[in-house]
Amino acid sequence: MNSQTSGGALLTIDGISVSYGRMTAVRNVSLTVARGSVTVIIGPNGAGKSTLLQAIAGGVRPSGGAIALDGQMIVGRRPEDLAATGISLVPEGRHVFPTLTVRENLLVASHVVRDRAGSQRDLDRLLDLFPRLRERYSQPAGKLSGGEQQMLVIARGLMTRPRLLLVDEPSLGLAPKIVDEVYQLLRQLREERGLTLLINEQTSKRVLKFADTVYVLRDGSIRLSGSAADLREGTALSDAYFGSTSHHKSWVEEENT
Amino acid sequence: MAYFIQTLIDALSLGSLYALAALGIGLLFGILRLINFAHGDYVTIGAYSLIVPSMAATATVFVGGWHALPLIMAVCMIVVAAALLSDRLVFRFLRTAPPTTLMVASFALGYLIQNIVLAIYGSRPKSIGLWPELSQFITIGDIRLPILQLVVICSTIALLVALTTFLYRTRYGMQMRAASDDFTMARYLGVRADFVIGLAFVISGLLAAAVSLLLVTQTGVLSANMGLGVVLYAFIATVIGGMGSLTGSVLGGLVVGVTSSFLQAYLPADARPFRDAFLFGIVVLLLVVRPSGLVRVKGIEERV
Repeated sequence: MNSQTSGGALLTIDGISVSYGRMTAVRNVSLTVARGSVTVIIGPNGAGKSTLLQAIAGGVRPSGGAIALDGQMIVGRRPEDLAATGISLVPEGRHVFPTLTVRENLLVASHVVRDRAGSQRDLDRLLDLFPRLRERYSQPAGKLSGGEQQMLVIARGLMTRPRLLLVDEPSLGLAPKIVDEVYQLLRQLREERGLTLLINEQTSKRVLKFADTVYVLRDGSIRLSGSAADLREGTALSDAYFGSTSHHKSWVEEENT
Repeated sequence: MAYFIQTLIDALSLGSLYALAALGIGLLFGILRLINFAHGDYVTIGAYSLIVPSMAATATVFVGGWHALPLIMAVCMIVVAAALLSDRLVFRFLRTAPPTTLMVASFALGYLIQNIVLAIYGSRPKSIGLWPELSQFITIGDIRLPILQLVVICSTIALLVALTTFLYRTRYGMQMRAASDDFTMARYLGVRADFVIGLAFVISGLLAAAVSLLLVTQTGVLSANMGLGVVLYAFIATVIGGMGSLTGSVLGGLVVGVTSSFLQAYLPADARPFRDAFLFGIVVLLLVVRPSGLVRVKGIEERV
């Protein structure tokens, strides 16, 4: 399916914790993302999912633990340097640069590539992939609809030519139809480019079909992990998600229909 | 009519000066959320670099005696160095501090610079004649236009065109605008924070140097708090223009300068001493009508 058959772990997180003041957002989390795979972190709002992705991308500094990209320790490195080594974060809430045009939003991310002709080709390919961005090419990104902005930030995240794309809640605040489109795109990117993806989501319906590996994060800790195929069956996932065994059994079934 | 045109040129010239100063403040605010009250003291440093450091009552020209091009370059370099140094020694340590802390730090830095200037140059204002040939007039019919004011207006236009070209036509300008929109996101995409911040201080310093030269040529007086007056009006200009918008800063500077000049020219003689009271009254009215300034910037409120 993809060229990177070398396998093994692209990202290894070993026991990291992140605190904001006295509040601990992420507690002793370990996880592994295999090269070319799609790994999904599911958890309710406030579980620490965003903090975890920010820690990987260098935006917040863990108070302990190790993060390795391709065997290289990356804790303590600046976000701009990590962008250059191949980590790209698409944060939650569609952080477009509102006063920059669509074109500028994309080009500003090509700085780390240091190959202007190559970046121009990347840009053209991405516009083929996201035809709606081509229509909006010269408009300020702040004028785009929510779905278009989500496409833009994903496309922009790819302009740095990442090895690992971190996507924080791509479906948040989007209409279901747009979410389907976004996921179709992510699938396409994975299949065509062998991109490794780590995605955060609050709900599991779409991502379970899409993911290889799933982690459930609640209150800053990993509650469950396993292959997506296994977790589609049974109630283990909802139990881990809600932290109870009795009430919410219908949740996964509802989500899966 | 002649009086009106002369007042208009006067007004545009003063507005230009405020616009340049406001732009220097607005640029740093956009990138760092720093309201830099020390900006006026960069202007003071630029002005004092023209003379030999001494406590003597009369100034001896130093850089001020050079030819125009090396003079301008030297003043620019000195002010840019001061701006970069103030980041390295003060603001760099406050990167994660809230904007109020940054603002207070800039106050402290400003007073520090003023007192250093007092310690080196003495407290008495000094006079210096910079480019006296610019204080002549062009006469068209019954209108006498001071060359200096035309120079001020033209230099401002040239600087605005240069800055706009930089911001909108170069990749580094694009990075600065992106960082101004969303600094954290820009870093996630590989925009180097130190570089962009350094660039903002360099440009802010260049704008302060320009204000220095234009102001000294106009007034011919050096004093330790000379920058304070300009920066106060410039700060008001950035607020009524809309914090975070560079267009707003320029617009605000022009509005403050033009209003001030026209009040001076057209208020009844008895009311003229209270010109600033009228000016600030208008500012208050403007802010009541448009609390977020002439140019509204989305997202500033939540980030401050």
